[in-house]
Amino acid sequence: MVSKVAARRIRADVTFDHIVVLPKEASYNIQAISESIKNILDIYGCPNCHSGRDILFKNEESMIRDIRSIFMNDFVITKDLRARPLGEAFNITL
Amino acid sequence: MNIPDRGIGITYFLSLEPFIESNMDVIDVVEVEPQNFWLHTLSNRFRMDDDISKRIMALPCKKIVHSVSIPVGGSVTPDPQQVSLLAHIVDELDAAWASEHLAFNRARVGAEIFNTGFLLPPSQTEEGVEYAIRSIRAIMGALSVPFAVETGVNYLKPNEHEFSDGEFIARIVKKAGCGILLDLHNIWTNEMNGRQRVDEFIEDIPLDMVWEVHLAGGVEEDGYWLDAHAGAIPEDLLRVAERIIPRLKNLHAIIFELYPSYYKSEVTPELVREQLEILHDLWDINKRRFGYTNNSSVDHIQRDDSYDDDDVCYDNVGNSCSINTMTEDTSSSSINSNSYVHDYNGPYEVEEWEYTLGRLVIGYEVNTELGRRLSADKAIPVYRRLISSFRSSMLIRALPFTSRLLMLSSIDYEELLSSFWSNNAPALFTTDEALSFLNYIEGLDLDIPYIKDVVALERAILVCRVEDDYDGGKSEEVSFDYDPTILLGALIQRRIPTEINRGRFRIVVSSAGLRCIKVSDDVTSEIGRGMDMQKSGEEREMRSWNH
Repeated sequence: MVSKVAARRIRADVTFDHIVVLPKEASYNIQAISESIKNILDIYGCPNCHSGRDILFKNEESMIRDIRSIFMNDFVITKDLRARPLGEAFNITL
Repeated sequence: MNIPDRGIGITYFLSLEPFIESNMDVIDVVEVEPQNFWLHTLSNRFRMDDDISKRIMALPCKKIVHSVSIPVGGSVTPDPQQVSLLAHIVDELDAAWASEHLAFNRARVGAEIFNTGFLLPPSQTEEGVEYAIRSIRAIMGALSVPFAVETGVNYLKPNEHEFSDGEFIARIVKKAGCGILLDLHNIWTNEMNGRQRVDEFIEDIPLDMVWEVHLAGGVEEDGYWLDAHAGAIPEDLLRVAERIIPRLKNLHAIIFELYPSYYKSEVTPELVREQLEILHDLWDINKRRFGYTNNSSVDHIQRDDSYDDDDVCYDNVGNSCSINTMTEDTSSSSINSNSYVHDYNGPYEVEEWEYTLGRLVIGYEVNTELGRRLSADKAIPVYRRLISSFRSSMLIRALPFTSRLLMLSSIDYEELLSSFWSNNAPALFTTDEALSFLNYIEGLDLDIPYIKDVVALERAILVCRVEDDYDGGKSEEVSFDYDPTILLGALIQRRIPTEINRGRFRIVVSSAGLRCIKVSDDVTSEIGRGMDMQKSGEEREMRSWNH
């Protein structure tokens, strides 16, 4: 069944960070694409201005793992009382 | 030459701009790291992103400049082209002074120079002092404002051939006649990891040459405290700052450093504001004692040619050794229990130090005595992990579509990165690292849907971004046999699309952004006409693509 966290995210139609779950493939809102990319592009020159670590990659890896986890492992009960993977119900394959 | 007070500030990043604009009541100054926004062209020229310059200049506060790509602690002198651009930006931003790190990020291998991918600790020997002075003077000679060097982080164990951290910087600034950017988090980190204690460091350096202080937060990882700029200033460090800042009679600014990757993901705007308010309290304590200065004389930065170095001891082959006897650290605050004087079994030259450390931290072995000794230091794997974090994050920033598609595919992305790194030394600039990675990916001829198109698109975006001749209207086109906006939109959502509309599409990349053009059947015959294609095609513009 759908985890409470996943269900809450889906109902809100907006998941963590900048992720918006859409029920089907469609041409995308170009402005949204631009804004999402803009949020990543903070430094395009020399980034290692300190002697610590940059967590951007780990954050990205973690978010992708979370999405995989939600859509691959969670299920929804459909109107015909069949359990289907959440990813399939939302027409999403990872 | 005079230095005015600049007060309390924060490092400028694009993602921090909304915070800066809405908290101007606690921000007197922004510290700009210009190389974050430098573009390195394919013809090996550097230029500042004009849009970013305008945005920074428009901020209603003063600016100071903190350089991050031409550190002054190594034997490879700063790139004159970058020094020249730095001087230009300092003037453009009307910065009262500029600073750089007392570190190195390039080393020689034979006649070649390679990037180390990180600001590394210099060889703290007499020869190292001389190299640092040479580099500092090269930058000072190009600047129209005073110049300061930042006290750096060093995760390595101290060794018997080097000066103490404080003595090293004291010798350099006195001889070079520059100021000190005292990064309290850095020297506190050094103490935490078993190097010189903060109080000893402070007694070693000329405090009247400290113009600026950095404070930041860090994280503990693998038994090391890391200078990660990760959030709140630790309470223990604040107690240190409360003791030291009232002693700095020529202090002109205190900057809170926060790395953008942590902002909002781990650090709230409220917490950042709270840190700035704390810095204001520290500033007021200092200024109540020494008074505010709008144009204080900085005679104290005059070079001390009479500096007496008789108190340096030399070993029998002319190498300097520390005045302070370094012994096992018994500090209760230290988190690294492996702190002891490292025996390198003989002196080493600066270039050997830089080559050895530089090669080790990017994953190579160095089969020399110094290489074997240095590779036994537990900090080497730490450096490797930190460099990996920067290199992998660079690709996420510059190549969001390619990196996400690869991470979502069936390949082991981290293994792919390791393979890339083992064949390619780090690049200094994000765009160079990204183009190098795209070349590597293309060479692999991976069997991953969409990958060739996405690589072609992101290459076009990067080239258009760095080359200024695209400002004059030049553009690149990438063709698709499906609707690319569906693919890009799905990747933004960190997934691969299940359905995608077939058809002929093009994305036109120019300095104005991207335009996606659908070419309908009746237009196909008109493609050869060029201009007509756009007029007749169904066109969607990706406006404000701030790439």
